[in-house]
Amino acid sequence: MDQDIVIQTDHLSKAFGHKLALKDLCLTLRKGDIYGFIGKNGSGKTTAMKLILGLLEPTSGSIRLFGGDDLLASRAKIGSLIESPGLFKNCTGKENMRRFALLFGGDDKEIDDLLDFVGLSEARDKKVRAYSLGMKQRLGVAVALLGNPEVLVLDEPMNGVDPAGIKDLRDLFVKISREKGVSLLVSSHNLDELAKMATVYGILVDGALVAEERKEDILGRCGKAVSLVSETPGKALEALAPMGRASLEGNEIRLETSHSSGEVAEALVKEGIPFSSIREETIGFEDFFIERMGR
Amino acid sequence: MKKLLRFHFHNLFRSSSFYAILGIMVLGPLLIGLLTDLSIAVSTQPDATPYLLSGEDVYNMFKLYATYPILAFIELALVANEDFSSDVAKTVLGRGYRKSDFFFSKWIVAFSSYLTIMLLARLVPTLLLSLGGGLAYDPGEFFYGMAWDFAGDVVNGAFALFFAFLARKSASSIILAIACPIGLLIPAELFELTIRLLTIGRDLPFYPVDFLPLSWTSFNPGFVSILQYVCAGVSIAFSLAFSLVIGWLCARKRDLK
Repeated sequence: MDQDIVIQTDHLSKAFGHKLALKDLCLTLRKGDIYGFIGKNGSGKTTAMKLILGLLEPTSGSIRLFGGDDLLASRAKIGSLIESPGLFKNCTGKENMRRFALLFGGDDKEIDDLLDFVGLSEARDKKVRAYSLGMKQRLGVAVALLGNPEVLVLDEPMNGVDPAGIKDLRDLFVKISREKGVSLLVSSHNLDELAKMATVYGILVDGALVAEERKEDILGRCGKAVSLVSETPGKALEALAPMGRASLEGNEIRLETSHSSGEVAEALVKEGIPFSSIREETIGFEDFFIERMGR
Repeated sequence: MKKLLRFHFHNLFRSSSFYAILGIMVLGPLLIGLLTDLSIAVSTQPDATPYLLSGEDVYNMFKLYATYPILAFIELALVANEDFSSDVAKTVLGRGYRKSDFFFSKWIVAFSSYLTIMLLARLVPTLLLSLGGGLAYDPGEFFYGMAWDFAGDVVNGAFALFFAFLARKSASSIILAIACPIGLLIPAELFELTIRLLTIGRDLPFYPVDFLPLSWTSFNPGFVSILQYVCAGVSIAFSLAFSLVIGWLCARKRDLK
């Protein structure tokens, strides 16, 4: 068993009535990673996170946390912020922390340290109803960090936050990962929010995980793509396979590759494969996701 | 479970709604009683002794108001539902606390807050105003009646709490909790009708209405049979068991959407 795996789901599914919101999710979060869970609104990200945290009962499939089956004990090591933070609005930031510390652990010194860590030391004695959305999110993160969890599950933590606030939160999450060694599972429908911090990406489309790749692998494929049309697409795909990732879209072959269109054409001519309409395009990091999410 | 009970009680004792509702239900009758006594004292002829309200007078005056226990039901519903409507429940349950432990601890705290309010609202104005006009014509019988009223509070509160837990929003929770005692009259009447239809022409050792808290206030000491006590005991036990067991069955697998 891989000791580095902190969250693993195996064909996890959830149906609400007749609607299958999550289909056969096989997700792996490793220690130290920041897993960027990306998908459009309604793609199943929140459902997946709630299943992992035990807030929803799965229809089928299983979850393993920290390599074991004792989910209740394992969840004590997971802090979370799902949708909006659940806070006591008529209490101050510090009083909120004290209340949750009764359950999650932490004395006054740890509470003060956490509030400093998330940048709320000056607002600790203000009532939460006077907080901005970004401040509430940060307090929610501070609550999630009580008791020194090993994993944080954050569902769209930057929703509704202004651009400056998004940057602050993103820097905070990277800081949490680096300084506290916490693994993060963060969801968003906005790639920009995740692009600067995630080390692994999972792309969810209509409840199904269509891709799960490490950032360095995606970056390795970014660069170029060559598109062409061939009368013998099967033979063309076989001939192009060593040069990159080839796929057939309609009657057009698309090859993600570091080779130029000239080199691709030369390879096809060598094999005697007829082709036409060959063109070269650049694949950006964003294009990779748009292509996967658009399927 | 201990940590959850500590958490919920900590929140209750810092809840402004708890103290506000307790204050209204205790101070309201007390103030009205004092002002009434003052009016009586002012309007009484100089050579006559003013008749001041007794504790029993004030107690019976407020029993006539159907709205009297509504505030207590509101507090019961708020305590039962607040963590769900504010998403605090998601934060807590996501950390590995069992849904059933969360339900039981919440049930205990919500029911305790409701019973505390009802008990203090019944006792405090009565005892304080009795310092002026005396407690009651027959204190023993008066407290006996108050005990039956409180037993009725237990039954109504248990059912109201069950319905309050069913709702996901505070407003719905409050409406269900308040409507519950009125709504329960329908199954109670159906129960009475069924028993009477099944036993036409036969002598029953008890009356079906003996199971209903509404009728318990007419019980006079010395005239209550053992079977009536049993019926009341069954009602109390059934209401508590229903609220706890059915509530637990609904809560343990409830999805927090």
